[in-house]
Amino acid sequence: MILPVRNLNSLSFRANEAENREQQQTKLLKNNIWTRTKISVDKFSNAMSIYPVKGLKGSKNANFYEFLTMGIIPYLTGSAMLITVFNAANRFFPPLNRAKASLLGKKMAAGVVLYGLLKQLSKPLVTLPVKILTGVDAEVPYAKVNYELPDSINDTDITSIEYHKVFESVEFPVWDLLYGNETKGQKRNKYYDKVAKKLGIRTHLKDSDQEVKPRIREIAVKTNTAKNVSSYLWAAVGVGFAFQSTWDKFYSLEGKNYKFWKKEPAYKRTMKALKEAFKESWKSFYNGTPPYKYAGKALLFTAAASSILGVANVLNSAQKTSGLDASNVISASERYVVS
Amino acid sequence: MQTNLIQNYILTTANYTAAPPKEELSRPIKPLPPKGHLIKGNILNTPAAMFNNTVYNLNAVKHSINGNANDHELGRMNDIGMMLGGLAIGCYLLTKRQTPLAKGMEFVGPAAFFASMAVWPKIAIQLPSMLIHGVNPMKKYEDSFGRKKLFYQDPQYLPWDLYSDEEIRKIGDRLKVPEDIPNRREFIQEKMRKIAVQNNTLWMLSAGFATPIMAGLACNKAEPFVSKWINRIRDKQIDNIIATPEKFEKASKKLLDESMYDKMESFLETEQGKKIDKNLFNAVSDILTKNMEATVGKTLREELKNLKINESGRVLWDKSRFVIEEDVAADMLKNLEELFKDYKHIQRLRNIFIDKKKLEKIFNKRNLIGKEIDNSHLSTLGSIFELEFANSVDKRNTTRLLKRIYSKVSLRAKPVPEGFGADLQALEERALGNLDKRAEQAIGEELGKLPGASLRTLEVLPEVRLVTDSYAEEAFNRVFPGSDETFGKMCKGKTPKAQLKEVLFCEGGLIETLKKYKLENEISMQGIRHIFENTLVDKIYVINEKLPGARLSGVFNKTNLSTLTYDARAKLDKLAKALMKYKSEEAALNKYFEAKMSSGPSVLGEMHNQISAVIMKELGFTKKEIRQTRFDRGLVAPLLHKKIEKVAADEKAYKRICSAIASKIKEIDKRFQLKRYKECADKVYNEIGQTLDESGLHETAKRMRGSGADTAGSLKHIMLELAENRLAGVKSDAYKWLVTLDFFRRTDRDSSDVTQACRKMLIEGHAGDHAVKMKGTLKNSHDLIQYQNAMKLMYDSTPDAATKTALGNILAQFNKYRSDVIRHIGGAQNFEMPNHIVGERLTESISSLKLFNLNGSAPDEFCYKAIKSKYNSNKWFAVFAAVGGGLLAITAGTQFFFGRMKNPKAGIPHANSTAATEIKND
Repeated sequence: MILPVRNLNSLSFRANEAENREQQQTKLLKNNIWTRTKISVDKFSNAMSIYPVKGLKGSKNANFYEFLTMGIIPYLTGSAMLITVFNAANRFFPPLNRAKASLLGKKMAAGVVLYGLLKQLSKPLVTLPVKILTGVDAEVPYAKVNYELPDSINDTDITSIEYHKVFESVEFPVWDLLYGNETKGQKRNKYYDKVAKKLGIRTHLKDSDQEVKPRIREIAVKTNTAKNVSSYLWAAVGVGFAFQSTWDKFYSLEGKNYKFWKKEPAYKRTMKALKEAFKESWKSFYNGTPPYKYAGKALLFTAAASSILGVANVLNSAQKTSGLDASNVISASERYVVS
Repeated sequence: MQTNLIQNYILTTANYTAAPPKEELSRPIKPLPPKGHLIKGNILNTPAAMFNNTVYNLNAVKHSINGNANDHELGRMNDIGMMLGGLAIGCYLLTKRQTPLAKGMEFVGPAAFFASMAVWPKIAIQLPSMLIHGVNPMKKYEDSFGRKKLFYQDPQYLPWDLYSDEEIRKIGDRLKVPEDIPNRREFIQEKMRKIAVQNNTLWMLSAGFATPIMAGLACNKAEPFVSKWINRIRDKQIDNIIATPEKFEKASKKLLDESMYDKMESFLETEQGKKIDKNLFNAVSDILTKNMEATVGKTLREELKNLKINESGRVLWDKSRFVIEEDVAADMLKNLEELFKDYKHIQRLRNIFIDKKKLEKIFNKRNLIGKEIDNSHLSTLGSIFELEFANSVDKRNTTRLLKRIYSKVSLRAKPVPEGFGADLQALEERALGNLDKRAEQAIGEELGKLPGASLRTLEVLPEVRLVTDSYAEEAFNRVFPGSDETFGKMCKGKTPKAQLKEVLFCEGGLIETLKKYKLENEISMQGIRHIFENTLVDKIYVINEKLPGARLSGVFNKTNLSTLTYDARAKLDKLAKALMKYKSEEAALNKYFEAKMSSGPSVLGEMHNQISAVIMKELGFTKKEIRQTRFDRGLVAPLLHKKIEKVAADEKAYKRICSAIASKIKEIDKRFQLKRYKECADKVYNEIGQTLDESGLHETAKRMRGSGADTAGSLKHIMLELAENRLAGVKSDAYKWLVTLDFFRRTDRDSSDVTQACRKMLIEGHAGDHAVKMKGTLKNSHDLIQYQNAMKLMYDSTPDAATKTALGNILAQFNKYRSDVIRHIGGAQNFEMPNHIVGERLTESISSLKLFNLNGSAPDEFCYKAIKSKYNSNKWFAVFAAVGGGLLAITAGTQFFFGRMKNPKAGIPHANSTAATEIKND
């Protein structure tokens, strides 16, 4: 006998059953910082605990989503390991060598941190303008209810929530999540109408979704491309900034006073020195040193150009609207086979 | 209302005939045959994986930009972006590195990282899995659209149909799946899936740790190869700098920094015609001495004042000499304006002489333009101007004016007033009394016609006023000679102007005034006339106490007499050009020196490292010995004693080490073209020296190239000495080793005190120990004979036969080295033991640096440094190789726990299988 399935994720004590049922379905989420943080925390905690266990057991429920989510582990451990490689062996070296090696190690650590930071922070440089100008949010998430196979006959906890993005796959975007719920009084093509208006396609279309879907797909592809490429270039800017020699002074003099929670005067001095070092390093990065006076500028402007050109490419489309009238659908001069 | 399109069509097309159905339409439509297949490859095509599918990647880029890419192509874009980022990082960080090796390694780093990312799963996941289970979790397949994907990437979508039954059966046999279980294929597939999922998870967990370690280890091991390759390329480039004079010129042109010349030119252009003052001089000096060696720069700065501008001996900046330039009048005008700026009637002065044309006229008249003058001439100039100003006042017209005044006034026309004496004198005097008013009026009228005068009679010309103000006393004395006291009495408490006014132009008349002061008998017509003539005419120039001659020379001092003339500018330009060329040539020589012989990464450094490596290898230092002796040099010496004794005793090993060292010495000679370097340096310094001499900068020229045969202390000498010393230092190290090895071999069986002392000296002795004549090393160091014997034993005995064979054609150099040591070190004097000399007493000693270089590095110190360096680079590798090895072992070992599944019992099928249904129905 198969026991009834219980979706523990949708436990609620509401009187209204209709509302209860709704939570058992895949639903679109708002793309704001709260949601993004919630999703990151959920993915991170699962990637560190449940998914590796399932994967190492070879569970039949270990799917592609879990595999991709676990991708954060090599990202973090790799960063930590890169820092370790440049710092761990330094204590075995003689003092003079150790001093030089530790400066390099600290720069490497800063480089790794800035790489990750700028990689993440540069993505909104592309997605935000696209969202504002076209109405298409290429990063809009949704929560999918995933039904797993039961481990045993008594296992009723077989659902899990997976967080995907609507445009994760550009070949098969989850279009139906973008339609309005007519039972709730929303207009069915509300989203598509909005996008059509923003894109300058004619308004008051009967089937704006048909007009707009190819264009949205194109926008998603171009946004993803621009986002991917520009994020790596901005990450390179972060690394370049971290490797300025103007940081040496800060690291050698103040590098130890990082314990800001102690509220010591030394910390205030450290923060001041950090600000100074930041300013000096920025100047050094931007102005460069002969004979490579333009290296920093070139890198910075390449990264900026990639973001700007990416957005410009998104806005520029070769697609033409169909602009079809009823009389153009069937042409009198053509022969059609109807059988 | 919606249009019924179909209805419309049917209505409009009246003659509708259905087309006959084609044959093909009766066949059922079925999908195209699949073209997917597994990719057969081996573990070795990993590097290719990074670079293959270039065409696919380019298409992916194109489609992504156009917006019609699929998911697979978008995934590729991420990889491309990652590599682009890595390339950008490499390119930027390259600009932060100084040495070519470090620059090269900036690209090796990212390449090693990406390679590690691809290699790690191959060696830690795929290989162990293949060996242990026979399952390849990294299997790839190509789908119908030509996209290459990992087979096991999505465990819920596994295209098992790509595997044939036979392939699955073989894998199942390898996995030791029983033959007789039902649904064997499904079971084997399930097992393969499980192994793959577990391996994928393991990959995710281990890749982060492993990739940086592998990349680091790869870079560590690659560095010597990259270094060798880069050095070989660079060596060729560097040799080309001085290979021939033409190549040297080309190389120095590349390093030409024209900014100095451009700066000089633009500066001189703006400053041309301006006075050469301290600021201009300092600015010019700064430009010329930029980036110059400190003492030479200082000398040049001091000597620049003596820069000869022309053959007449004029120099650039002589505070005591001036040249009167063409526009001196304009400057003088400015200064005069400044001097008189507070004077109320400056406009009147402007009419007389504060006028550009008038000043120019004076200068031209006296041919002063272009003349060179010095300080002493200034007062003469002042006098000239005083005179000119004086003459510039219209003397002739003034005289004429006065005569006209007199003619208008007839002294005899007046009736003589009642009561005065009858003589003419008295009459005249009386008339004069009436003359006052009318004379005053007439004078005022006439004088008023002079330019700038006021028509008010009481206000006279400023010239007169000035005169009368200042020369009142003198005028009065001329009129009333010997009347100092009288004037004093009259003038008591009054200004000179008021006084004369009272005297000459008063209401009561001159006579009344005179009467008042009882002077009526003392005045004369002549006197009065004299007042006007002499006072107005002779003294009517403004060079009064306001403008004494000295003051005027002060005006000249401010005037731009010493300026940057055209020829001065041309001279400075020429000097700048010559210095610019010199700097570029010096830069070329320095580039050669830096690459070949500097203490940083250089060919010489590399040679030293190679000698060090050869010796360490031949003497056979083990890892344990390195670890034990790395902290204390004192521990190295006894170890070295033993090792050298061992090598010296074995002829084969001995010959090997000696010939290895000898070949390195030969290589040093080959790789450093010292002769050619000297020739280039000679040419460069002689040229600049000549230019400086021609410009009168002799001291600077001397500092650059010395004078004649005496080049000591000059920049050229320093450069060449530095190169020689650097080479000598490294070569001496090598020779010292050869001397030591040879000594040990020769004195193999000798254990006398002197021999022991010599051994200690050779292994541990520094130049300082030689300087104190082996005091502390020899038992009886005060014994001259013992000292001489020791030195001769070490440096003057015939080398061993094996040594001679091993050294080959550098034997002569070796012997020369030894004789140099005897001569300079043995012949050097020690104040405590003045007779401890070997060979001839030296009349002049070489520098202590040369002595130090001659002695060479003590072998124990040499080895100690090598040990420390070897330990450091080994340590890093040891730490991370251990970690990497451990990680690899753990990852590979985990494989043994994968794929464990309970085999189903034979004959009992799975719940839903067809066999189960058959059994049930049976």
